Amino acid sequence: MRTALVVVLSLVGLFFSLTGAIGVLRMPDVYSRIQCTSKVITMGAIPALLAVAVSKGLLSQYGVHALIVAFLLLVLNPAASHALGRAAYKTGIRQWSGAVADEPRERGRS
Amino acid sequence: MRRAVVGWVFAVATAGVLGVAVVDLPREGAALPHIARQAMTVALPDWRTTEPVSEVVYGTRTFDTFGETFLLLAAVVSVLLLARHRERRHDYFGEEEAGQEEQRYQNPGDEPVGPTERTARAADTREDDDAAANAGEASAGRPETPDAEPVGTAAPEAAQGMTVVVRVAIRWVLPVLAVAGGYLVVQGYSPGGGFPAGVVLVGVVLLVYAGFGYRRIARLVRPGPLEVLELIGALLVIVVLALGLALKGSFGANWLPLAPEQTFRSGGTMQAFSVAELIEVGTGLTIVIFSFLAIRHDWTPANPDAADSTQPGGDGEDSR
Repeated sequence: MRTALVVVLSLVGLFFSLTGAIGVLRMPDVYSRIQCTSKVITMGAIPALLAVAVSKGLLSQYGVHALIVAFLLLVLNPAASHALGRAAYKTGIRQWSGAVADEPRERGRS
Repeated sequence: MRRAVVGWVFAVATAGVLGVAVVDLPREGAALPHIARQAMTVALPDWRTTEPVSEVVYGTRTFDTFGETFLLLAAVVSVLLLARHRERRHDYFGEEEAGQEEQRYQNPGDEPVGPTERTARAADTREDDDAAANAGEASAGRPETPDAEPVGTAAPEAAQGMTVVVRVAIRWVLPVLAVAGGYLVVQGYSPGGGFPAGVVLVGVVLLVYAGFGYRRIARLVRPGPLEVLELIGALLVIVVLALGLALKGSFGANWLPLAPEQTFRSGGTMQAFSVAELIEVGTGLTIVIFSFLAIRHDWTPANPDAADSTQPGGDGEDSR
């Protein structure tokens, strides 16, 4: 039962890491690529860390270390993506020509 | 087409290497490599520690770690020499500021100042939060956080800190990171020891710097106390290791009574060495990083019209 859960969590992590890697290669502009990389952490690394915690026991030394790392990633990764996106926008990096919305600019106009 | 082929070749090759590595992983119960067996046989009887990695770093390979520590000290001294701290000693300040002092000395302001030059100088003053932080005054025109500013403006960030999203995330993470750094060094049986713990604590300082701006940590990060602390750390390393030579006949030998394993004091002089290493690495890396940050680049655009439409300028005079 526990092994099955570990396998499922690892597979979920692997799957999202793979889609994130493909996304970084295929997406047309910085902003969509940032979205893909943040997915690699949230849905790729955190399930893998949970798998470690489940297989070694939640309160074992390994489990607690993995959970601490998972918490740090869960909090810092969206903030880092936000800061990257904002910095990109602030330095005037253009969106993909096919993008359908540019909310900050629209709000700035109105 | 060619890119796709190269990509596939690399992907398949990486998959092959990873597959071989996974297949060759030592199974549970496999024989340990020689160095690990050596560490296991030495760690518990000689040092009363259950952490063989710390034993290797601060026990078996003491002299190696000793050399690394002083290599780091040499690197810190070199960076300090290159980052021109000769002129002023009370804070980290930029190349430009140093240049301005020299300029004032060489040419005390008798050349005419055009509007472009005025704009550029105003931008310099706005960027210069270091001086304001040390003088204890609010820097002119630089908000503390960018939250009041609309996102849609494509311009250099004027605020000293980062947005509320980043600041809240940092507030959540800081206590965890600080405790994790302390944990690495405090317990005689926790993995890592002083070196990684020092790096984690530097990470804490850097997060505060990035999220809240230099002003928030200017009081903590000052060359005077930091350099003294770093030298105290280096001195502690020498004292701990040399006392081994004086009392036990070999450099780095344990001369402290050994506490029972899996307690805070287990590990004898390993723990003392680790704490000295924490001081040395934490302060040394902070000095290096803030010295490099002081040699910063001026991000004000060469064309002032694009950056700030309220300022006069753009008369074609190239002042920068």
